Amino acid sequence: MNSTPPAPTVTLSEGLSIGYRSRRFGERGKGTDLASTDRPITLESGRHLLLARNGRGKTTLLKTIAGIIPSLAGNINCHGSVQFVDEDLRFDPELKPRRIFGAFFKNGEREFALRMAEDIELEVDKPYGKLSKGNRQKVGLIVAETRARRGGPHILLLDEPFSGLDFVARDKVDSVWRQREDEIVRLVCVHPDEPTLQAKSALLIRDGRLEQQQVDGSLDWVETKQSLN
Amino acid sequence: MELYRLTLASIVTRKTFAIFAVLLLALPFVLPLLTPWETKPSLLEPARAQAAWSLLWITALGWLLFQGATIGDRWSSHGILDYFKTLGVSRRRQMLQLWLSCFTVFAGLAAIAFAVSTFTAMPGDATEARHWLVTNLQYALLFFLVVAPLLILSISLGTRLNGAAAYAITTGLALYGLFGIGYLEVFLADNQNTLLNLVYIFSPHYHLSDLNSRLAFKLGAMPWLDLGKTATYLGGIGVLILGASFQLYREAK
Repeated sequence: MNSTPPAPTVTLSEGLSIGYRSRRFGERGKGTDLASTDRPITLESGRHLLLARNGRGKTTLLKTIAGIIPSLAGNINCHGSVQFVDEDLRFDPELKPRRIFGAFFKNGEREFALRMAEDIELEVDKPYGKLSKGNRQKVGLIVAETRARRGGPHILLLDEPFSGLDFVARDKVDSVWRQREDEIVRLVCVHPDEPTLQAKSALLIRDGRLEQQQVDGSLDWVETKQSLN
Repeated sequence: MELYRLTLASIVTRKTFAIFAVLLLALPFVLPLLTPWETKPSLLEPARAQAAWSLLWITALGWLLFQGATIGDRWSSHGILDYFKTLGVSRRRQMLQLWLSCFTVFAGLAAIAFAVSTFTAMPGDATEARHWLVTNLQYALLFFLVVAPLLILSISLGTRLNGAAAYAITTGLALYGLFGIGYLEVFLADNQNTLLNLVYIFSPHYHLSDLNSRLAFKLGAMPWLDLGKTATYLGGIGVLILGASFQLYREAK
């Protein structure tokens, strides 16, 4: 009997508010509200873009979904294994990517990681600290993608994964992502100035509101950029 | 155990443990020869044991606690601990894996010191040899009860402060417990001071774990009742440190 794996989903409730609670003495409990939802948002399997200008709460939203920081109000339900790959995620500068993959994965998974490294032109025998910014980004991406090959639904929260990657590497990562679009929710935080990416929907943060915009194929980039201003 | 393997790979790649391994293998044989041992050659072997254990203390304070502090600092500032948190690795499991990775390498270094002390300095007489072996095992137990919680503390402090501060605090605590209390005791013998007396009572008496004098003077194994009391005392301090470390641990700075 064939059974299809359960689909991953992320649901942001109506009234969800994200931001930071103050740690200062006398201000405990007070929060800085960055964005909130007026209606529930559901992210189903596939690629979703997260767009906003600097300091509007993109990374905060990803961290809140990942459970690293609590929401100020409302709920988030994630159905699937969550991974948050921070833009600032850094491994030991002395470790070579081959060793990093060896620490995370065995056998088939390790082979997949090394194959993906070859595909996206990552030097696996050069110490992590000597890699360029783009190549360091690739290490985190490969770790996340390889883990997402494990059974069950997966949710990948990627914070500006393309910020240091050239167009060739972007295209190759894009083709890897296309292979398993139906089993993984990818919420990709991108800068509004990034080149166009294919996506199922876009989450926009503007004027303190978090909204979902359905995208048919690729986003109308100029219009979206203007709407964020 | 991915965090364990990643941290272990990081420690092994840096290879600093190799320096201490060489020192632990060589110095117990070299240092006693720098003394006027010819006047009493029978002291050479106990001196070797003493050197081996003293070097292990130096390795624990100089290498192990430093590893814990820097790893806690590095992983928390680089987003690694947050990443593992999102994978569902709880704070307790993170602490355990970080501790275990440091201790895996240190166990090899401790095994060298134990082997040098036990097997290259063992007395010829069967009864003395049995006492010698038991004393070394007792020493290993008490040493572990002191060092293991301090390592957890250095990791946790590293995740909250920076590596240098975390290392300084943990090593300072260890040095105070091993040597500082002795000075305080001497001071209190000549002076009555209620506050310092309380400080003395509530201080971690890590010097109780140092069985070097038993080995050097061949005093035989510790009576089991005394060992039980000392182990319970050091274990109790260890539990307190563990509790504090759990509160101090942070996945991100």
